[in-house]
Amino acid sequence: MDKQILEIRNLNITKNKRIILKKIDLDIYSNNFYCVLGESGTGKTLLIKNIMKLKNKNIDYYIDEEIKNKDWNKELKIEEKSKTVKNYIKKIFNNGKYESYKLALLKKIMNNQTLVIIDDISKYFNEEEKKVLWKLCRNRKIAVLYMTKNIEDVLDFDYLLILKNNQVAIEGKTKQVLKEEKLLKLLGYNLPFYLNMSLQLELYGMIDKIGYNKEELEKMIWS
Amino acid sequence: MVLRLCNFVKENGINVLVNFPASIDKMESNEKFGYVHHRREKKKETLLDFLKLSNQTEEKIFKSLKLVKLNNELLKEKLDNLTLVERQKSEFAYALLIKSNVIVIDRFFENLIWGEQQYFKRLLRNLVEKQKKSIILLENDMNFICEFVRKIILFDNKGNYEEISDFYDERIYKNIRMPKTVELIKYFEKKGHQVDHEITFNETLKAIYRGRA
Repeated sequence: MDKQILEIRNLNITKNKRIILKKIDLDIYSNNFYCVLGESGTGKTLLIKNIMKLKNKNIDYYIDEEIKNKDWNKELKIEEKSKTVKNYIKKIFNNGKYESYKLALLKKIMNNQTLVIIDDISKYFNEEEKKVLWKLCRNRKIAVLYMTKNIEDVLDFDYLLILKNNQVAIEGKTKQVLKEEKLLKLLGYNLPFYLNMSLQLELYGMIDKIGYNKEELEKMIWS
Repeated sequence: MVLRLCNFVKENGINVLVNFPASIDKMESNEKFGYVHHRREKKKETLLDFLKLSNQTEEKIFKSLKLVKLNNELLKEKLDNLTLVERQKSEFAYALLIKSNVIVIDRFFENLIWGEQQYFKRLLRNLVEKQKKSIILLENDMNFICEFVRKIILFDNKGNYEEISDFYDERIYKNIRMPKTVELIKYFEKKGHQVDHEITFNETLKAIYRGRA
């Protein structure tokens, strides 16, 4: 049975007298993956900062400012002794860029928290690396709340919530939300590439079910 | 840097720079080059004060705001209080006001959602076709721009560059994300399937259909 980790009701956020978010409700349960999708400036990072104010000890956070403001060389010395995190780095992150950002996030995942809230990491992690990261979180039974502006990210998450015009425009199970193609277009989003390609290939009669990545598409087209 | 840019902006069109030197960020907008920065030091002046530096009338300022999809209500806001995208759009509006022949746009598309990307692609095409401007894009993800870019300017570590027009050239993608269409077709090829090299979504779809047939 999944336990409720976080409950937010009717949250309003303002910055410099401008309303950024209003009437936000959020329920987060253990072992589940949640994605908040919203364009730049819709208040995703501010939402995290407001959750941080709750000082819930079961939750850890990953936002750019926090990573930048800490001396990670100092922070990571303890981890280097155990070598656990460093081994993960060697195993899964092989492009050698942004190592301290990656190390910082891994450290948070290894901290045995119930929920990790992560602000957009697309700048530091490529798609393969992100997939490995989510797999690691699933294996460790950590719930994830991830903020992104890129719809390509959402397929890795169980639940999707889209922010638009200061509020939640649509929310639900990710695959259900993605069926609302017309509404998504009105909100300014196209479908994720592989889902979109799948639907078109289905129309051409080349496949008879949806594929969510290149491997699935290749098998279905040439089987 | 400006001289280097002048060298390859001989023709009008939309070009993308890959592995561009970091020093490019030091450029300031002037009559020749309008520059839309990725991140700028925050400024205390209001949006209206900033746009008035162009010495244009308020009517033209309103028109340029409309073109870059910025709300007039923001004019009294300090640049400090604007979001990253709003600040980038402000610089875009300024570049239009000073009538630069060349507009350098630094990591703008990655901050826009699909609907706005489509709008700004149309706007850039119009600027090129009707006003004969040259556009230089700096991006980290080719997915946002590959469908309308004419050529790629690839820099090496020493600051030398070459022009590439083949989007399937692997050298491009060391520091920039590959378009999904290219990624998909390259994967099919790796699996032994022959599929024509295309860039746009619709042409890729047709190429797969032909390849399967």
